[in-house]
Amino acid sequence: MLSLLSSWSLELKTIINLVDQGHQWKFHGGIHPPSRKERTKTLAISTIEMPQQLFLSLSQHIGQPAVPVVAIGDTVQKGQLLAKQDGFISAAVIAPTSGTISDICQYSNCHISGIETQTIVLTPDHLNTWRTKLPLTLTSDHQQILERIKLSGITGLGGAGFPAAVKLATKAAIEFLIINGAECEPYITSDDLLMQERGAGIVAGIEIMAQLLKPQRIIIAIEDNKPQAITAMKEAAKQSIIDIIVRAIPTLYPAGGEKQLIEVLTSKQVPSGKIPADIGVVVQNVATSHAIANAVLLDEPIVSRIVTVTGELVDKPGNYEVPIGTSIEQLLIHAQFKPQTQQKIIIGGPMMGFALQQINAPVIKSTNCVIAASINELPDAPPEQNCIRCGDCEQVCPANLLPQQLQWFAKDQDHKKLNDHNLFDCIECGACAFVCPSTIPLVQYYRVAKAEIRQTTEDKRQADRAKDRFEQRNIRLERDKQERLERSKKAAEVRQAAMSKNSDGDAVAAALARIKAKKAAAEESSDAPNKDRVAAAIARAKAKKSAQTTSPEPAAQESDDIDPQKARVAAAIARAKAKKAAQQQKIDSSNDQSTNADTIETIDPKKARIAAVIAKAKAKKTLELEQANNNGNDDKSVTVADTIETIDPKKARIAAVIAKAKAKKALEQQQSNNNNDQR
Amino acid sequence: MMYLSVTPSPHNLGTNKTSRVMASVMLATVPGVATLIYFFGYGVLFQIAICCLTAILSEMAILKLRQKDIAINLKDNSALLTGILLGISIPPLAPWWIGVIGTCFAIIVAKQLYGGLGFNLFNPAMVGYVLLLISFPVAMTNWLMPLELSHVVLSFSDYISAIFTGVTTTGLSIHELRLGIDGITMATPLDTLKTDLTLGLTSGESMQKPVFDSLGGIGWFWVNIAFAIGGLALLKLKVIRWHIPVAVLGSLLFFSLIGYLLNPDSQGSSIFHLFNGATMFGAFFIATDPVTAATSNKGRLLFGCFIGLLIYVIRTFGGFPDAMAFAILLANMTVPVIDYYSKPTTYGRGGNNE
Repeated sequence: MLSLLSSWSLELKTIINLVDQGHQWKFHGGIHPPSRKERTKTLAISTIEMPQQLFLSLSQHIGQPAVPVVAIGDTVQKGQLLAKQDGFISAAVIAPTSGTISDICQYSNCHISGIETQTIVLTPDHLNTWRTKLPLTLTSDHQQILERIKLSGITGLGGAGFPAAVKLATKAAIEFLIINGAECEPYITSDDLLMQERGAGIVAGIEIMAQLLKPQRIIIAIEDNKPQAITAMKEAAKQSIIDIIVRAIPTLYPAGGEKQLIEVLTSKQVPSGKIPADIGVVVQNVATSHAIANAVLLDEPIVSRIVTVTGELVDKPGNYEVPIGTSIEQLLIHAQFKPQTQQKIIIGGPMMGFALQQINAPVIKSTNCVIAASINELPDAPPEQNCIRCGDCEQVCPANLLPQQLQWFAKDQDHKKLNDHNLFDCIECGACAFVCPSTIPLVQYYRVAKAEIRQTTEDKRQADRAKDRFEQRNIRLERDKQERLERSKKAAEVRQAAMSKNSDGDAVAAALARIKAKKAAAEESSDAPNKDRVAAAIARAKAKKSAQTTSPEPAAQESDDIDPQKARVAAAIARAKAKKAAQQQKIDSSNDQSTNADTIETIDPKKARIAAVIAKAKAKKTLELEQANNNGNDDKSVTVADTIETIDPKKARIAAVIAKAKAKKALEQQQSNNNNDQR
Repeated sequence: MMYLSVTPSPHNLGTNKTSRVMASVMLATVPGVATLIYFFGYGVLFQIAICCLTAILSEMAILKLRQKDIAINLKDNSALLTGILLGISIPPLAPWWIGVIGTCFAIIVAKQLYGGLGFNLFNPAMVGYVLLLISFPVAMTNWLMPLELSHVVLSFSDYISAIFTGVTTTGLSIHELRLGIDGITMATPLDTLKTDLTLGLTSGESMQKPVFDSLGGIGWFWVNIAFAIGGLALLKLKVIRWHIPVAVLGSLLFFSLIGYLLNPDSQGSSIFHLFNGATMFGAFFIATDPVTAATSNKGRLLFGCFIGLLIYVIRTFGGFPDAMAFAILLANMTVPVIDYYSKPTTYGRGGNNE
């Protein structure tokens, strides 16, 4: 372990040494698409007039939408928090100027899906009044600085829109802090101009990040097609209090991809499924760095960004600093957009950007470029032809995948093979589709396949969960059933045991006999032994009847030897009464208990069941008593035979059902009461 | 609302097209074909014309049967290229139906019945060639001797007549045309060497024959050089990559050198192997067919080495004088396995680089 650690640190040392010697590495593949940056790369950053309305989407970043903290009609000041971040991966939304919240509604968003999102509409008052600023310094508490970055709503401004504070809050030991000024996508020059004009601000942001991350080396990487930016950044880095390496890297798309940039600068590859911090690297875009400096040192959160507006259809291309929420339509109008019957508005670069669906969508934090392209400039791809397996795609793939193989598997929807060939390591840079001689929309196939696999995985997960739940439920039900059976079996045994001790007879028969005996005893004093025989006959009849409904054997046995057992019968009655009383008490107390307990805790289903069982038992008992009473009353009538007949078993059953229902109802009531209590 | 065209990224595409790839390969055959004409006469052109015409007609017919878009598929130039490659492979004065049968089989069976361009396992031109070689071995091995050794001067109409009727306008049969001044039939250098070796001659003795000169076989050396030049142009244009040609030639050089050093009397030298028969044509124009070759660089090296080995083995120990077609078809079979085992390591899955 120790040797492993030392060899690792040795390796690290050599990498750092090589980096210090100016060594660079290469990533696999890459392409040289026409850069078309000439149009805007010399145009200074300029501003546009404040729009009449700003549309601030709550979903301008990767992660959870922000949650509004203002209401319609509120007046807000520039820099004021409009919506706070929701959860760890989320970002706040800030008022880009002072004004009034005129609406919070669903509105077009600057997103590939074209789906409307919750949006705060701000009507500027054109006073541009800042809220009170409380700037921090470089020496402020780390937690305070992180909190400030978080509250300032800063996300990765290079295009991905990942909340910046999350990356900076890493606990990992950081060897390399890489500042990404590569800007490898064609057309875009916003970072180029930012570096040319505001290098000091970028460096100030780097100093803050260095304070938080304590990296061993800091490298600003710029593609060598931006000589002015390289010079400017070198100049700015020289003024810094910390050591910052400015490195020109070969122009090769997609060198600005996070993973590729890390490989070029450090030779390291981010392991599949991990993040750069896992190998001790943090990458931030130059514009993000600049925004961090503003937020921390000036307390100016992200209210605007630089957007390159270019393409053949704008007469006044440029790098415009625009308030977040400005509609793209207005931005285009400002750049003297000449609409045609057909055009493409691309947000981002032509390689990884998306075609805008609604022109009224707003500029969001990650909108770095708007290309108004004529159909000749960025034509639709010609119809797809058969793959000739030329392997050009494989030669240019920066993830070193086999794009043509993936394409076959994607068309076959062969998810297993797609996973085997590491589809999810595809960064969708579009290099493969760019070089494909058969104009196969490879990336689109991969996107669809990824979505399908994600959907299938999710479906499977849900199905598994449902199945699991169902099986658990079956197991539970079976267990409950077994427990019930076990309980009733035990109870039956106990009863059996108790009865065999008493009279070797059935409980009902015994009860009947007891009542008979009681009655007989009452009449005994006045009447002749004749009556005794009548009573005996009745008892026999009773016993017989009950034997019909319950187990016949013990009843038959008992009916004959009632007389000599009178004394024991009386005793049994007393015992039964006592037992009943005891049970009643128990029920009451348990009811009380459950009510009390339930008010505090959740309802114990077991307890409720017990209560139900008790109530049922009670109902049964009442029924028995009733029956017994009926029997007793009937006995008073003259004709014995009639009496027996009138004890209608049907009636008894109905009574039982009613009693049960009553008990159930009572139970339900009780339960609902408990639930109410709980609430 | 204005019309916004919404398409998936990437929005700009490279200029390379399948049709351009195919056309470049066709153009690159020009030096080789010109050299063939120079040494063996215009017959070569007629064979190419017959094969191209057949290729286009049979492609159209089969596309119609398969209910595919004829125009789009024809425009990829792949059928035309197959025709040219097969036409180059056929002896210059072979009867016209040889080219027709071979091309029809190549296009219809070897390509379209497998699913069309991109789906065929075997190189169509080579499948057509092998079918012809096996079915009509006499016609397919009747290569003319180089013109400089011939005692007859053939006119343009002689070629047409010979191809379509079997005799020249002056009534000479192809067999008669192949007789040298000494009245002995002349075969290609590869064929001559093979026959002589079976007759008990040493390779050195065989090389004394008039069909050979100091560079190997008369004409063939230059034909190979010309095809190599075309191939280098393809490399320069990045239509093909270096891996397959280098591997084919390298492994042929390696194995023939070992064989020659071990047994110089019964085997041709490495130079003889490299600049004779279809070596350069095969290495640059046939083996590099992307559809039927391995895809990764590593895989292509393996694929090429295997072809080089097979050429040497079949030429030296097999029953046929040349081996390019067999070697390539056999190697085509190994492609799925090669592809499977030569997968590159995906970014972030290397393990040592973390």
